[in-house]
Amino acid sequence: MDDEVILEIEDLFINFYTKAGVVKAIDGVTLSIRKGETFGLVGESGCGKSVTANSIMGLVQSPPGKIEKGIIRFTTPREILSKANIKKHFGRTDLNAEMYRSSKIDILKLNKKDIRLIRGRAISMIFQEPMSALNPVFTAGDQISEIILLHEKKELAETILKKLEDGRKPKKKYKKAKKKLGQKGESRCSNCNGIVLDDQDICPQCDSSFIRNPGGNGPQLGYGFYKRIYTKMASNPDDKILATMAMIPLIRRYRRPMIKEANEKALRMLRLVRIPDPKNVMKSFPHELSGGMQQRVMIAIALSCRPQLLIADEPTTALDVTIQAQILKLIQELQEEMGTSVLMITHNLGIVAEVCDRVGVMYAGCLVERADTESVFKEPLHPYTQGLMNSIPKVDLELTRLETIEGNVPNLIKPPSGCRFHTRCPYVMEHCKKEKPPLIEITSGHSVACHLYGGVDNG
Amino acid sequence: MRMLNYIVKRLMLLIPVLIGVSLIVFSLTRISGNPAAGYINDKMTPGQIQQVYEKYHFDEPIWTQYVYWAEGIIELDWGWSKTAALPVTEAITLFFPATLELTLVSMLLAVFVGIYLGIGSAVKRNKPFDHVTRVVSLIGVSLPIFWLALILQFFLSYQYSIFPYGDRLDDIYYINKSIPNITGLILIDSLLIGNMQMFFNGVKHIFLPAMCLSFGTVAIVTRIMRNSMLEVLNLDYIKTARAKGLNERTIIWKHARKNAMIPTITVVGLSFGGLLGGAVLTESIFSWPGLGKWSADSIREFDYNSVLGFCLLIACIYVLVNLVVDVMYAYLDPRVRLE
Amino acid sequence: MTDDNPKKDIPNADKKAIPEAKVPERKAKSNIFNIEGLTKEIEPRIRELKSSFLLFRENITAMIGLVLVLFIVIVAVCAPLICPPGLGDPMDMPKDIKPPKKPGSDGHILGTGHHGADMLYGIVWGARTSITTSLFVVLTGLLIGLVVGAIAGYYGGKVDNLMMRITDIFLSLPALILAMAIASILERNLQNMMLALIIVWWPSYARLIRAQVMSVKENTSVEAARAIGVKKSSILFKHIIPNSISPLIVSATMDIGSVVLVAAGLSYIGFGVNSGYAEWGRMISDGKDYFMLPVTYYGTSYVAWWVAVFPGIAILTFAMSFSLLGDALRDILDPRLRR
Repeated sequence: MDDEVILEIEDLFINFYTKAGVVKAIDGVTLSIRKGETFGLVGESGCGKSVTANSIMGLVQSPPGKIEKGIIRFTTPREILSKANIKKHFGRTDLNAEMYRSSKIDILKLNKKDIRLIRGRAISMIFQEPMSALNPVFTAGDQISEIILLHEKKELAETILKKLEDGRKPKKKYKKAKKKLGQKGESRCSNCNGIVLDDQDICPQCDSSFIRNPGGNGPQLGYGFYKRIYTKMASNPDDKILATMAMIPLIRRYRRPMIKEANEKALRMLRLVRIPDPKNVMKSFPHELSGGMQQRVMIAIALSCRPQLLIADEPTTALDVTIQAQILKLIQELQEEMGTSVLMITHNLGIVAEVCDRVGVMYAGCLVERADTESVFKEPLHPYTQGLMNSIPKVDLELTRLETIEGNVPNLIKPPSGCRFHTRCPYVMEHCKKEKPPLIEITSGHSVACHLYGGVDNG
Repeated sequence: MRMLNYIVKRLMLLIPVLIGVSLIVFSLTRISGNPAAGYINDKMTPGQIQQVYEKYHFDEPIWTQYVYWAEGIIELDWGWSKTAALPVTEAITLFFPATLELTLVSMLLAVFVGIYLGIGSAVKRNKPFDHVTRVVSLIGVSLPIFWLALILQFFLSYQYSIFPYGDRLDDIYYINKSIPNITGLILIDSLLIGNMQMFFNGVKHIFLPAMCLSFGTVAIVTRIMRNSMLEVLNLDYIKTARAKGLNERTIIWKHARKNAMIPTITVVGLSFGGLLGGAVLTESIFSWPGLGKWSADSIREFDYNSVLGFCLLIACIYVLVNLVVDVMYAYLDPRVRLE
Repeated sequence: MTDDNPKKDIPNADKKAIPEAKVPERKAKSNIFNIEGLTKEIEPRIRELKSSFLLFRENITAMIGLVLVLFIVIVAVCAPLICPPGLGDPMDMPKDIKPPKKPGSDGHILGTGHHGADMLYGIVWGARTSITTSLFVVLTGLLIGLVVGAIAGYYGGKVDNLMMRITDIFLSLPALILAMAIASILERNLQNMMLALIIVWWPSYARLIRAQVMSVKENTSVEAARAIGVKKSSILFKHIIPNSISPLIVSATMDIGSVVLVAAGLSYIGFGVNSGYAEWGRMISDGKDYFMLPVTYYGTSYVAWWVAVFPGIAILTFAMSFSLLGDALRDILDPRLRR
């Protein structure tokens, strides 16, 4: 785990203007996520975790919601950097140009077009209910290849060009072989008797092929035509002419090799998320898959373009406990393989303990405690966190009554004055009702927003 | 394979419905006084008239009569049409293409315009476009078709002579007998023989009737599409599509539209019936030589047989159209196919 | 975890005493004569009514619809006051052999129409015809459909199957066509036209109610009632039907407008009423010729457009207002369920 910070949320304030009043949903949240770490955002339902996540992706709906204040800093993706260097992009203020050229960019200030460069590509998100998060009329394979086609045109074009070149070279001669059934039901190569997986067309041991044309054909007709198109695409994926051509029905066929490549990559992604029989799943519709598989498809979609940050908004809440464990394990493994950071949003402290490196506890729109997982569990400082920890029933204590935090979550249209927790806090003082406590670092890496701890001069 | 099974199953369900419809039509033929009158015309010899009586057994109990009547229907002996001076089946074959052309054009117009307006209205919710569309939609649902036809004819044909009064082509084509008869649809036929003048003439003639006929359906389709889109746009998978980084246009026209069209298709199928009913009125006002005008004339002349023949035909068509709609529904919504 | 007897610890662990549950004394059963009980029952209903009225007021289109509908009803009711009838049947418009006069001439605000009949008279008394026709048709159709649909939905099984097949058969014919078929057989008068329309309309209500009943049947409140031992028929009438009524009310309101459209279409073709009767569709039919043929009157020649236009506007307004009202009712009744 690096110390390099990839995402920084600073002083975020979000309001929702509704008929019933102004909902002050997020009231000053500050946190940072480092490279390769899993940051857990915990809190009750309605405390603003999802809103925070949505604001990172720019998914807060503008008419009711408004981001009043705050900065979300993220490493500038190279696409934006390259754009900023094109003079045409900016005509007006130099201020924006400065921002676009720096190494970190404020996501909240991006315009709609540019934020699409980040979504799915640099930051991606998975949601709570996979059944409703997948479009029911498109197959799983379609939905994965869609995002690949959207963001990775350059890589796809390069692969196709390479295939075109390979197609021109004399084909490597393979020995012919057949697959036969072994003793335990697995497939074996007829030439060398090595084990072969179901979808492998070439025997890995002895290099004989099972099908007539291994490696596939590159695009057949019009070598020159395809070469021109894909060279253009490789150099400038967003070319306007290619985009217009994609809309005309017959000419649209030029995309076929690209779609095929994207499908292959989608298949690889499905294997990566450990889905058995990926070829069938590619052709299935979401309602034909189980909850766990649907969530894996979602993860495949989210991770296909190797984002730097994955936001997981309660990914396992809608799943059975056993599937929950599998999905969490999957996310952890993929995180290690890809080096992605994860923002795990959950209300389940068990999950936090399992997977998160650092934790942020939210209450009624405020971040009340922020520390690494061990400190939060062993030494919770904020009274709310303490209440949460105490309410977990422990095996060895003989309890007759479960501990609760008295009171109810406040109405965010008229939130309590000062510290929003003061109405339920067992240690409430007069000062708490007047002034909102700032988030102060008490010990290294452990910050609390509570008047009980104050006046420490660690930055 | 699943789709094929579905279609076959639905076809099987058609049969009892068709039998039921035939029962209704049959009972209507028997209520209307002398049932034999439907089969007899002035040109028949007494011998032929005797044959008719023998064939249909008018003296026997009613359920036997039904069997003979149904046999006659299947053998395509639907009786004689006073209005057209032809056997009913021949009259139908004569007039069918015209109505088919008008109905197809109106349907296509209604569906495309309606879907486009509905999506636009949903996306630009509460903006001027939306308000105007909703008002127009409301008027469209409440307008009597025949009145609209009269008004349009008055303003655009009489006062300003932009569009012709009626018929499918200018008189000169009828006089020259140069109308091709490949498919019976003038718009397609004229393109097939390459006569662009005729094609444009046909377009001019079909414009007003089609606009009239489709107006109500456009309104309904717009309304349903709008409601459907508004619902879909709030769903989770649209949020996922946004989180993928797709642009708004792709989200609306690819992801949302396909889902929103599902309930719309059902409504389109149902409103086809309204279209057929409206054709009766529209065709008579615009002198469009189709089934509708024939049935309107038959009503005026108290030619029951033609009317009932027309109704039987329409029932069959409507049932088939609904089958097509169901199949399309299954095609659009993969969740349905499992049934 | 040790499986202790949980009851052991409770009295010791908790010092607070569990308060005695207070059982409210049951007063005498409230019947109509017990004012106190009555107001207690009505109070929440009045509250709901008030809140729904407030919701109604917020919606501009709803208010417009309501105002228009009230306007039409008042006009229809006060017809004798606005346009005093002459001798004989008030529905027969007072005739004159003279050709139509312009609006505003000789005290005829809307001019005169076919055979010199006063247009205002026709419109006002036509409102009466339209309201009575559509109300009668809708209410009767609703009643029949309610009975059929409720029984089919509730009892299910073979009864359901049979009734739905019958309904399907009627629904497989488009409205205007079926009405035409029935009306053409029978004698051409207003009652038979209404009969035809009732036969056309009841199946859709049956379908609607059946769907509602089938879903409400699964409600836990119904299960609870059965568990207590309420009779099946009682459940049907007291529990299920009141809960299923809201979409019916919406549908019925909007159908009042649709029925008038179809009835006008039928009268235009020639069914129902005779020429000169105060019915809007008939007035348009009488007036359609005046569109194309200019009238010569004392030397001046003009096109009497108003003869066909005003009744059409009347139909349009009628259908629109009931449509708006139906929409408004749907908006009120729906979000209430969400609350």
